[in-house]
Amino acid sequence: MICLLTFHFACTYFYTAPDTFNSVKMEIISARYINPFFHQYWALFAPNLPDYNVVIEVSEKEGVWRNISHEILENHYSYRITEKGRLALAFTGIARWATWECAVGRVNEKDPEKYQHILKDLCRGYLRMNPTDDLRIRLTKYDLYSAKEGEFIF
Amino acid sequence: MKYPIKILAHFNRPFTEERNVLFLRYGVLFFCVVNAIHNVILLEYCWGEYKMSPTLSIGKFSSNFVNLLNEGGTAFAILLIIIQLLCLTGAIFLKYKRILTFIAYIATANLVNSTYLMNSGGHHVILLVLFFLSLINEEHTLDNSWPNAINKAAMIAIKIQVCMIYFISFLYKIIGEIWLDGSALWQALMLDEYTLPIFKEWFTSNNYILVFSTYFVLAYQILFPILIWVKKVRKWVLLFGVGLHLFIAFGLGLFTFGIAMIVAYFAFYVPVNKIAFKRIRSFID
Repeated sequence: MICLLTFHFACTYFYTAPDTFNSVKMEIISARYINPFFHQYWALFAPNLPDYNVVIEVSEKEGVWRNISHEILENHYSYRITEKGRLALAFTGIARWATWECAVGRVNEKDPEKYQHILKDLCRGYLRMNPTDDLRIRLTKYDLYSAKEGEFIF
Repeated sequence: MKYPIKILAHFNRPFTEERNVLFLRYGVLFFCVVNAIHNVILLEYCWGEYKMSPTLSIGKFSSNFVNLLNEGGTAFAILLIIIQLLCLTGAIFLKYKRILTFIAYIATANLVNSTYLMNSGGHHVILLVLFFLSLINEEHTLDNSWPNAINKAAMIAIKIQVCMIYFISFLYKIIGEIWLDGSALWQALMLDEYTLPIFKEWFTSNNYILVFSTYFVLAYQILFPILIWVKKVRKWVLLFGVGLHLFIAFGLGLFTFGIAMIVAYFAFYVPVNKIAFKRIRSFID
């Protein structure tokens, strides 16, 4: 029992610990045991949080921009224990990745514009549109410290 | 030689944490009911026509068992939710606790993995607790027997897992600048999804509270894995933890994470004594 517990939690440590306190080799080996049944990730607001907010606006073809961030976040603030919070997390998380993707101008060659596609699918789902319907997204980035703005349309 | 023998003997002594296990079972059931309500309201976004979480890439054969809902399917999802809740309830009242909890674990893992974009760390906490609970049958308490030793090991595993969460999170935090300069909580509350407008205004005008709270979180995360084993201060450590996780649940808006951590605390402490527990148990039976 003691050996099993020691093995399990040693693997858990190597799988979850940050690179500074970890060995890449051990991380790869422990992943074979940990995945898929014990998968976990405990950064929890660390090491650094994003330093900007993103506003998502959508428009069908050349129509008017509709601010869906505002709708989603207002619901999240008003109904704290409901499912609204989970929608807010999904949208803001993916919107941040998509903004980063736009800002650095492409990252992963194998899967170009991955998060922009996911965000479009999320928005189509939210607006109950067909997967093939035309949709434009405008992301406006607001920096927390410098109040600088950035805008991306795709 | 004294301590190794003491540790080995621990696994042979009768399992006495039935109260903790029962509270854990109720807590996990409560979490899963809340999660099921969320999922049913978001059914079409979770598994239907407007499925939001993209398919997970499956690396190995065993991944198939926990990714059955990868491609969606509302009817199958509802079936899994029913199986999950029935098995969790059955594990409280029936004697086949291990097998029922394991089935509930598989159902929960499928539901959680297929909606990963909408989940928080709380879903993983509950999944891990459920896995270890599936090794426990609190009715098997005969000393010097394997089922008893497995019960004991699984209970220790839940406790170490909770300590691991805090310890690993602490390691991530001390390599982040915002945690060391005390601005992390301010920054978190400035982010639209982790705030409440009322907090934003109040906390920004009382900045010293945020700096103190940031260092308090850091201290709590490194002290928890040590102090929780000291019986004298355990209650206080958990009390601070409940406060912290209620703030995370309602202040930062991570309701599922806050609740899951409070549920996991039942592994360490339950708020009823043995006599009251016996009355509750006989009432349930």
